[in-house]
Amino acid sequence: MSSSQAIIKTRPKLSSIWLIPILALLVSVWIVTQHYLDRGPEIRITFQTAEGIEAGKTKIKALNVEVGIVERVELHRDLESVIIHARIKPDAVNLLRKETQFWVEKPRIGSRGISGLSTLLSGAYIELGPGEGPIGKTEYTGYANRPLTVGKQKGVNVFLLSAASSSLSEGAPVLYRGFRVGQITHLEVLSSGQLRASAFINEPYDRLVSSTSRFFNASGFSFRLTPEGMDFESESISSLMSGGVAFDVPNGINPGANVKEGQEFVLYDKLADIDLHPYQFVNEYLLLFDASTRGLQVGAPVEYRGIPVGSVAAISMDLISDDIRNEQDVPQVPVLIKVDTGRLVGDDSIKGQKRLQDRFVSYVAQGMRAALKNASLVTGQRVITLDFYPEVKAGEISQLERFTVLPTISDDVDRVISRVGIFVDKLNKLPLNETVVNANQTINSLQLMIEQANHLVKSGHDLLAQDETQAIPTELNNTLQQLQATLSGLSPNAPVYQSLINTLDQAKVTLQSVERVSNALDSQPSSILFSEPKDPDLTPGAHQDEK
Amino acid sequence: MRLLFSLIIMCLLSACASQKIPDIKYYVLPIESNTLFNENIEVSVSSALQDNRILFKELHQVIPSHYHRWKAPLAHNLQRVLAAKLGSVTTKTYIHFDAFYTSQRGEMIISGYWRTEKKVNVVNINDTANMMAVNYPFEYSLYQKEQGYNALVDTAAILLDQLAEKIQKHLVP
Repeated sequence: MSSSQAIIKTRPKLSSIWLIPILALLVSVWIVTQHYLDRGPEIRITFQTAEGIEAGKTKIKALNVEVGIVERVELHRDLESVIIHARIKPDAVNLLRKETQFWVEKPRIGSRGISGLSTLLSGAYIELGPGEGPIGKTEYTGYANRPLTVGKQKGVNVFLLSAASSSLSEGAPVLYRGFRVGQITHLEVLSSGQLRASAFINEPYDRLVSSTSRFFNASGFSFRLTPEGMDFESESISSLMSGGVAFDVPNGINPGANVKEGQEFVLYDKLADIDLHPYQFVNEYLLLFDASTRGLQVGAPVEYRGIPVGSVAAISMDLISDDIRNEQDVPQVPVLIKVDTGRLVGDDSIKGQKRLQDRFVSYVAQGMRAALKNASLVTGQRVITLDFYPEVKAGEISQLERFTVLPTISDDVDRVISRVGIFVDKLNKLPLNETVVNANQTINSLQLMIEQANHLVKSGHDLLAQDETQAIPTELNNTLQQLQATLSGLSPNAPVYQSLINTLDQAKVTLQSVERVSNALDSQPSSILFSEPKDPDLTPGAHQDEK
Repeated sequence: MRLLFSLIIMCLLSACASQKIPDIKYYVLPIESNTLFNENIEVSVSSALQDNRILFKELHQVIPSHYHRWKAPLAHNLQRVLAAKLGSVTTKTYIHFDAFYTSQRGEMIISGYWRTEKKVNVVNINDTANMMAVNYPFEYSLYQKEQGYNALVDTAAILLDQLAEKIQKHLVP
């Protein structure tokens, strides 16, 4: 009997079926790792507000290409700003540099027109402005608006200094002859109270700015009534609305060297001012006048022998201190003038200032003085003139407190009046009595002279009575007759005249035949080549039977 | 065929040959010899007559002849003739011709005016006799006896004689 025995097989401890979940696990781990590896870096951008930004929806774009997405929006701990966590695509990692900028692009209406209209439908997005610097930054501060200079724009930055900003604002245009070439990027108030505006001139227009360029306020418009008529000035309409600055080279000045980054310029109030004071470097001089300065205004021209070289900067008693004023018996009127170095010595630099000063020292020694003169007798406007007065003694330039003082002279009407006074004085001193005696003597001798003249006339009369003298008219008469005979050779009866008339007659006939030729040519231009002989003439009396 | 061709050529060439052109003949008005030339006489012609060609007047049309011309300008010619005929005139006399035309009918016409200074009594400020220019119109015509230009010159001479006689009578009573 065979008994059946169970064959015992030892089963493997782990079923092969487990391979499947293990494989699945490996795959999922791989997928997850891959996901994390592929998703790119997360960055944090701080904004003032999260208006228009939604987590999971708002995109980050660079040049309108999607480079990332906003993942989370959360409030900052200080509760004054928001932090946006955004995921950047791995292939855009290169864009995350030190100077990269972020701002929210949404519909805007400004002086530069309407922008971001496309976001009306698509919703706002965050724009990434590529910048320079090392890669790897993850913390950024975003801008509320599009920055004025985005990323790697090329150009030049200059600083404009002015006393008052008038209507300047960040983003205001910089115009060159009405054409926008740059913008104001930054405004700051310096400790001196001046306003410093940074202007960015885009390439290639930065070459238009030269060391002799002058910037002026182009906002608004100016309207003046001048003796020549109405004067209206305005730059572009957009600068009229938003303000702005313009620059140009003043008339009669050559463009200078190209400017360097960060050069400072004075910002003039208006276009007219750049021609009035086109130079950067000026020397200031104080003038002390004894007479009234009525009619002289700040801005009035200073002329050197008729050529405008500067202007009046200030007229005020406060220019000199009380102590000095008290020392003077009759208070003088201080007038501060500015003289352009470029105009007088042709060198608009610090060296030029020194040269002008040296020149004035020698001029004053030679008799140069500042004087007040009437520019117009009608309006009573006055100007300061610098001119030479040979009669004055050699003078010198002095120093009064912080000012250099040029000697002055009273000219014009004052001078005339004082001269009239001197003349009257001299008149008074004239020895009139003696003169009368002298005059009497003169009259006596005059009488004597008249008697002598009488005598002379008488002897002349005698001379005329002589025969030789009387023969003169007859000789004259003879001469005239001879002249007449000579002229009669040209009278109508003379042979010369007759032959002249004949020649003229012949010339007339010739001209008539020329006229006929031209008539013939006129009616038949080819007649000169293809002419036919004339028809035979009419015969007088051929039709006698008709009578 | 060759003959025909050369004939055509000959014909064409002969077309270029010119006819004989008649000579231009010149005329002068006859002047009596041995006469003094009077400087008191001055003759002028209207601008229409300032032409060396002999002029025909047919109705309103003036036709100049081409082959028959005056040798000297007409005004000059008339001046010589009349100055010779009026040798005895002592006052300044001015004769103007408006017409000096012949015609195919053979009628020669001269017309115009002559002017001389005449003493007239005019009351003026000084109440003295004064000299005043007076115009006398004239017009003469005559048919020539035979046809031709020589006969024309003869006829013109007769008419000028008549004119001279009239002026002479008026000025030298």
